[in-house]
Amino acid sequence: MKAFLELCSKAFVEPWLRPADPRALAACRLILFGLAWPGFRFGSQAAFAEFEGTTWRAIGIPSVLHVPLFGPDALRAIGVGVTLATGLSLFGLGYRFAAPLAALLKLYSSWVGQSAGKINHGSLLFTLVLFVIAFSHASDAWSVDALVRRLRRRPQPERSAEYGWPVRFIALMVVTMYGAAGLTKLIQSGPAWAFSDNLRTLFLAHHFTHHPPTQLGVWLADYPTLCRVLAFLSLCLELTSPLALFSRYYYRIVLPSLAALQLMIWLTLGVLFREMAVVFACLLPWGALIERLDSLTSTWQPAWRRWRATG
Amino acid sequence: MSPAKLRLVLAFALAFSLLTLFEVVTQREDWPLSCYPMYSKLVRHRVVTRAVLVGVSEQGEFALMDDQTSPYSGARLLSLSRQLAKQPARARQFVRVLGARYERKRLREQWPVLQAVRSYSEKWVARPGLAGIEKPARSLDQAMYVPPPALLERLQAEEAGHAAPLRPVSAPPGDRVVELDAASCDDGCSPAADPQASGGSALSLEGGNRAGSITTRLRLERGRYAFLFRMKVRSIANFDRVFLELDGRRVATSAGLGNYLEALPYAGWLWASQRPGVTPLVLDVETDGEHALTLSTGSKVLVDQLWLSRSVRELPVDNAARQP
Repeated sequence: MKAFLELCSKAFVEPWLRPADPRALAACRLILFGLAWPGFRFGSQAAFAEFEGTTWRAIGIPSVLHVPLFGPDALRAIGVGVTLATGLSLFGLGYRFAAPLAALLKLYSSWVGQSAGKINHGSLLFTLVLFVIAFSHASDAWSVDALVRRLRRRPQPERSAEYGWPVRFIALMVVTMYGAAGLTKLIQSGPAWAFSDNLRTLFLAHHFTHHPPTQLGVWLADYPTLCRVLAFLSLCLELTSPLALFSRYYYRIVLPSLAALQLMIWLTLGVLFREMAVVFACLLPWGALIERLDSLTSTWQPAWRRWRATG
Repeated sequence: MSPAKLRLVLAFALAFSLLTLFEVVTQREDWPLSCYPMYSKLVRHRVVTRAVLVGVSEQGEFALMDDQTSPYSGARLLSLSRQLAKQPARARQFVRVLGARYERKRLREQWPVLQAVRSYSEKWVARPGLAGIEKPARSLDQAMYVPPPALLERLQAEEAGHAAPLRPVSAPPGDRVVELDAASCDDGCSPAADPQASGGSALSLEGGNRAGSITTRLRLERGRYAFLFRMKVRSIANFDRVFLELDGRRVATSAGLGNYLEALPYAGWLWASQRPGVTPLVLDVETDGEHALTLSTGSKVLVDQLWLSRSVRELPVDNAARQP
């Protein structure tokens, strides 16, 4: 038993120590803060202040901590702060200060929106993922900070575990979320969630309540057994997804499968978790892609130089 | 990465996983943590319900745009309207704020005057091939009245006694406007002078122990007419309920007509029908010829005009008298 636990512990910890390319983490920074940047709209949350006491009611941990809902002007100022801080984080300027501030302000403004009658579960994880990327060295490449460092002739960052753990942390959050969703299905509905007409009815019902982009759900609903098989497989996938943290091979199967599940949810049910798509984009093998690009560049660059030299 | 930093990172990761597990075991939602209950409840019934929210202007119902209901829109607004259906007092507060926000943008955006938000339930039995999805059964869940600011100002001025009488407004062609005079009085009714009434006079119904009534006879072609009447309560402490009979048969529900004081607590003139926010009562006249319309009430009210319209869909947002 002790040997098994040691094996598990090693399998769990080892990937966190794997060195990664700083540019791979920089790609995640661009993706995440690219979505988090709200543009130049500052007042979208300010309107909620007018509904305090009627339909706006503080929820969750902030309500326990008595976090206040500020007035419209303060909310507008926070909106400006979100735009500035996420913008600076996106471009990697003063990242060490800007990114944690961006994550914190985004958390607050997200809470303001979510306390207004409905929780958007799709964006929950995204808000937390911003903290992971904010407290990492994601601006060591492809950023203004990195450019300044290069101009000052400081040493360039090399492959390190510093650039690998944030992506591993995000993967842990993703599989934890899906594992939790699977367990909740079992607790609330039991195996009937998969072995009844539940998914089939959902496929049809969502054409009435949502706007699925395809008729795939309607077609699948014509095959009740297939619907049950799909429901069973997706439940199994969700329940076993945390195992991906212990096996490199299972990780390579589970993460793309979860992304495919999310895509299918959009195609059949018309529910688009936009923020989750972005989180999945961070889990793409950016390191391998960048390496491939590097090798391609090293192949054609000498040829390009020769061609230019010969006019 | 130093071992200390690794330990710290792993401790945070473990904490996140354990806290999420706690949420799952206890089935709690402590934002930003969650047990992620999306679609976890079994869909037992094949009857699917969706909420439809529409705005109401003088011209009729219109689809509300996100801008008009911001910051509430989409799934959040529909989810909220389902919650508010069970909490009328909270619903009234909500539409008051929503109406004020709408009014602030209305002139700039050239939107119509909003006088109500209606929430409908549409039901469909989920069938393979989406059979029948285009014809769901629709029912009104609630109508939330949004008092138009100009009307509120006018009523306040009338109550305070410093409103100048308004010029009558022309009714649409084909509509019948009936000026009530002493000849229409039954029991408990008498003519009364009122500067804001059409032509400076109205009929006063006594109320109390002596229920008052008015009967007027008029020639009508068969068809459907929206029925409105211009009324005023003597005091907001009075009731505002009036009953209508067509050829001796009571029309409308037990709630009667009027019913506006909760939304508009003013002793001013108003166009009334079923209640504010709800479409006017529709009278179904089955035959051509002379018909008797009787208004009766146990409340102390003044009435000066009846308006039978072929084209009006909603209550007017003004309180001016009408002329044919």
